Formats: sequence, C-alpha cells, structure tokens
Amino acid sequence: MACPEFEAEFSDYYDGTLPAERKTALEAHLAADAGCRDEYERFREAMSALSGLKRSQAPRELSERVAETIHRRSAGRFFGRKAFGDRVPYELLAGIGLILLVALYLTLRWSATGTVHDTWRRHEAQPIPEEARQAVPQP
Amino acid sequence: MSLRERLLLARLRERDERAFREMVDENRDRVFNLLHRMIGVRAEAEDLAQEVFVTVFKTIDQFRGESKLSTWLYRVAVNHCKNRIKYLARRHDRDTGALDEIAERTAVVQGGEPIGAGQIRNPERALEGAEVEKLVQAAIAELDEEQRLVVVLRDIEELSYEEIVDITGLPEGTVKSRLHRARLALKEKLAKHR
Repeated sequence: MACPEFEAEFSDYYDGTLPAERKTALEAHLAADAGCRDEYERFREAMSALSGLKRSQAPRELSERVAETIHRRSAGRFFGRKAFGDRVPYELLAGIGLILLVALYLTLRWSATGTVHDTWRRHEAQPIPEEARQAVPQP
Repeated sequence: MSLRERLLLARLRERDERAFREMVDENRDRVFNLLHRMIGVRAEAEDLAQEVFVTVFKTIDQFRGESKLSTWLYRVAVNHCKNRIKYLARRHDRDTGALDEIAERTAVVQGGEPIGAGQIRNPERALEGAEVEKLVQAAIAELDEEQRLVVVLRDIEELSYEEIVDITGLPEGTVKSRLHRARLALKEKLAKHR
C-alpha cells in the first residue's frame, strides 16, 4: 500500500514532469519506505508492459477497400475503375516480350532445321567443284 | 503543418484518388491501432477503420489545417470509436471473449507477418510475450471508455499531452488526472497476475 500523497505523483514522476523539489522528496520517500517503493515498482512494470505492446497493423489492402467503398457509395462519381491502360504493367510486359524474342531467336539459330540457322548455312561459302573451276577460263 | 502536408491536403480537397490512397497508407496503422486497442476486436476495428477514412474523404473540407492531419484523423477515429462502443454496448455484443486474435499474435514477427511455430527462435519466450500482451489488453478493456482512451493515446500511441488535449477536447488537467487514475487501475489489474 502506497502513501496516497506520494502515489498521486507516480504519473508525473514516471513522465519526468515532476518539479525538481517534489522529485527529490519523492525519491527520498521511495528510498525510505519499502511499501511505496514496491508500489512504484509495480506501477513502473505496468507502464513497461503497456509500452511493450505490439502495434496492431491494419490490413494492407485497406486503401483499396476504402476506395471501393467510396466508389460504391458515391454511385461511381469518385474513384472510378481504372482504365485498362492504367492497370497493365507495360514495363513488365515489354521485358517479358524482349526475353521471349531473344529466346525465339536463339532457338532458331541453334536448331538444326531452324530458319535462321538454315539461312546462315545457305549463305556460307561453298567450295567450287573442280569441273566448274576448269570450265571457267582463268585469267 | 508541413509544406508537404499542405500540398497533400490541397490534393485531398480536390478528391484526388492517388493523394487519398497515400494518406490512407500513411495513417492506416496508427488509426487501426487506436481502434483495435479501444474496441478489442480486430474485425470491428477493420470495419471501423474503413468508416473513418470514408468520413475523412467526405469531410476533408471541414479540416481547417490548424493541427496536424494525423491529429484530426485521430479525432475522427475517436468519434467513430465512441459511437461504435455505444452501438456494441446496445447490442450486448462486446464480451471480453471477443478479445480475439491476441493469441493468434503469438507468432507475429515485427513486420506483422504470421510465422509458423517452427520459425520461432524461442517459442517459450514468444508464448510468454503473447500471454503478457493478452493480459495487458484484457486489463485495458476493463478500464472505462474515457480512461482507456487516454491510456491508449498517451501510453500506446505515445502522443503528447498537447495532442491529446487537441484530440479529446479535454483540459490538460483532466487528461492528466484521468490518465493517472487509469494507470493506477492498470497497475492493480496487472498486479493480480504477478
């Protein structure tokens, strides 16, 4: 059981807002009175438990839900559905497209029957047969 | 109010959707935490948080910018909270058994993502922490509404007395005496579980 006179100052003391003179008096009293000291310790523990509470986190989609509610309740006047162009992640699609193009090119380039491979081979220099070489007059 | 807040406010008054979402994302946790600690039921707090932001959208023109936007948001949230508590009391729907998901929060990491039991480095300590949290939340729920509000604003939301005066409209002396009584009551309630 704490002395009411000193217990009334626990909050200000805990907050650090007790005037210096009263603070000194309270500290002297706590040092001398085991009952008050225990009560203040319990007070401090309770405050510590309070400040140690985890912060409750709101659902991440809250802004989406609120926007939908506003859209619905305003009969579509506010926060209308986004146009298709706003919702399509063009940067991502362009990246994926580029990767697919490179993959397609490499497939064609290295496949035995691929068009690119075939074209390249067709343009490779063929050795001139000996008969043809002889048929053509040499300078 | 900072320049950034003034610019945001101007966009909010124009009912700019992007500005509104920005405002919700910046303030959702503080508003939700207040509501959750006051009501004690996550589903109710989620529903109420949504209503708070809808009200903000509708009444943003009434905000004169004399305080921080977050302070005004707290004020709107507190008003909603009081109404909801009255409504729930009328429905006899507010039982302490509904202090629901505190136990679920046993395994909640700082980022707020639930994790499996196998991921908890020290399950006994986590359980102990959850027990303490459950006890503290139950003790808060036992306080009367006015005491609970000042405790949540001061000792959980860590607002200044000036801000609490602004939010509640109470004189500072009343806030301090109410807070002191609430803290002593909490001390007694928690001491029973030592």
